[in-house]
Amino acid sequence: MKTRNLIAIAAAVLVAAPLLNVACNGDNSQTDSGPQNFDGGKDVQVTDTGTNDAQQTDGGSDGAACLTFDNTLVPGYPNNIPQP
Amino acid sequence: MTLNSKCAAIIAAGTITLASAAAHAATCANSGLAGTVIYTGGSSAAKPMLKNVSATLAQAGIRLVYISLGSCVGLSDITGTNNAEKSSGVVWDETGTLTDGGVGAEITCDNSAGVALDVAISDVFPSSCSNITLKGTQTDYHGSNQVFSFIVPTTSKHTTISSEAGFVIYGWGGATHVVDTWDDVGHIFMRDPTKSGSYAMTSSLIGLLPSKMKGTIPGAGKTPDVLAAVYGDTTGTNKDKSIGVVSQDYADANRAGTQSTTPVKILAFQDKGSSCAYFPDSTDKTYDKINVRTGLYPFFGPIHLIADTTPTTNVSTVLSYFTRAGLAAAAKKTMIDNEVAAYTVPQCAMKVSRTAEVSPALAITPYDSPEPCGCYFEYKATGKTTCTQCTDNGPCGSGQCRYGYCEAK
Repeated sequence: MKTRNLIAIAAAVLVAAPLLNVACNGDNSQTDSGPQNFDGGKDVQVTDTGTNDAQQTDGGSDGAACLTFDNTLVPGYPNNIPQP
Repeated sequence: MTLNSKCAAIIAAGTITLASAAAHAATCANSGLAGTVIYTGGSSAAKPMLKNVSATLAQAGIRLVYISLGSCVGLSDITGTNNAEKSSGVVWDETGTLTDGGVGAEITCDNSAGVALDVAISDVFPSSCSNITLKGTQTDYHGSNQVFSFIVPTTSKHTTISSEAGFVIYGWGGATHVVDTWDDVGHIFMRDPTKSGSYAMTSSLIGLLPSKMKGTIPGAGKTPDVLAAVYGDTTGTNKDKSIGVVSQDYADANRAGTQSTTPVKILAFQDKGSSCAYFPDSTDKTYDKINVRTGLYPFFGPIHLIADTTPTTNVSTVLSYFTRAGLAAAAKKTMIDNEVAAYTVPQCAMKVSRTAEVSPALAITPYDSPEPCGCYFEYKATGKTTCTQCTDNGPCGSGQCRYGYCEAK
């Protein structure tokens, strides 16, 4: 991976972390070797806006906010959710 | 003017109004509006788009009659035998000449003698409704993509919901097993899932049989009733208990931050097993539908038009506007405008396609439109696009100039 991309990913991590406040799974199908949570996949589109690693620094406009629902609020989650 | 004379004037005016209304009360077959009548019926969620399309079809000599029934009822009508529909319908006065309601005025018309639907409109695949099987002579044509959202009051603390949470909320109705503050069946709103495509799709999305869904059906049980019920909980102690599902044409038109008098908040949806929740759009303040178009937001499906495989010429004309088959470029552009204005997503702007009903096992496949329109869609939906403007293929390189913007092909 090019140094330019590593710098871009590091910047994305720094900016994204306080915004997302959640570890979302990245799109590991890309060639990026970075940590899963910040690998430039769809989950960091909030700041990085790319759909794959090659586009991470391209300033694309396909950003998607990564939010999360706290499934611990769901009774029985994950394997014993009561069946009505 | 004395009080009495003023009252008399008011009464006289009211009489004239009533007389006018009576004069306009007509059968849908003879509404007074020009065009060959084509009967459509089913999804109440599709009404805003059909209103837009009606004006376009009027220019092609078609008078669209629409009967709001619910997707599954429309499907039952058209696939059954002797299912004459007697519910009242509406037509839209696109020129504003028939009534004093202005351009696009909705006019209720009578079908009490019973009419046969030419085209059933459904938000869901026919198999999602109970006991529905298309006749061998019928086809499921697909139009633009209808998106759905869980909605809550603008004052609700909630911003997201997961598939698993939806399963418990609607499976248990806020009793015995409760998710957070959704603990009151009186504020867990839904439509009849045996009639409504919105809720048939919801049940599929959260993996719950329609017959197992528990909630309160507000008012007449149509999409606007769910919207009104959720909005009604904006103030008071029930704001965090309230939830419902509506199609995006209603959700977006009444999204918090718009000029709507009944604003609601759209929840980001987290699919089963996913670690992220997504809005249909890139944020809750945009209208780009990017997460629908790329398949990250699963709560969508094509609008289904069920009609004869070998339709009459006029029905074929109606279908062509939705499917684009044989349609001229200008008409295609007009239909994109109609569909975007109703917050649906034309398939030419999609990167994915739904091949079966929404469910935890997503039936979404990559889609490569032969005539992509993503740039024009973005411009129409959001008012801006980064695509290159064009009047011919010159600035588009190996791409194609379409609807004023360079597309990939």
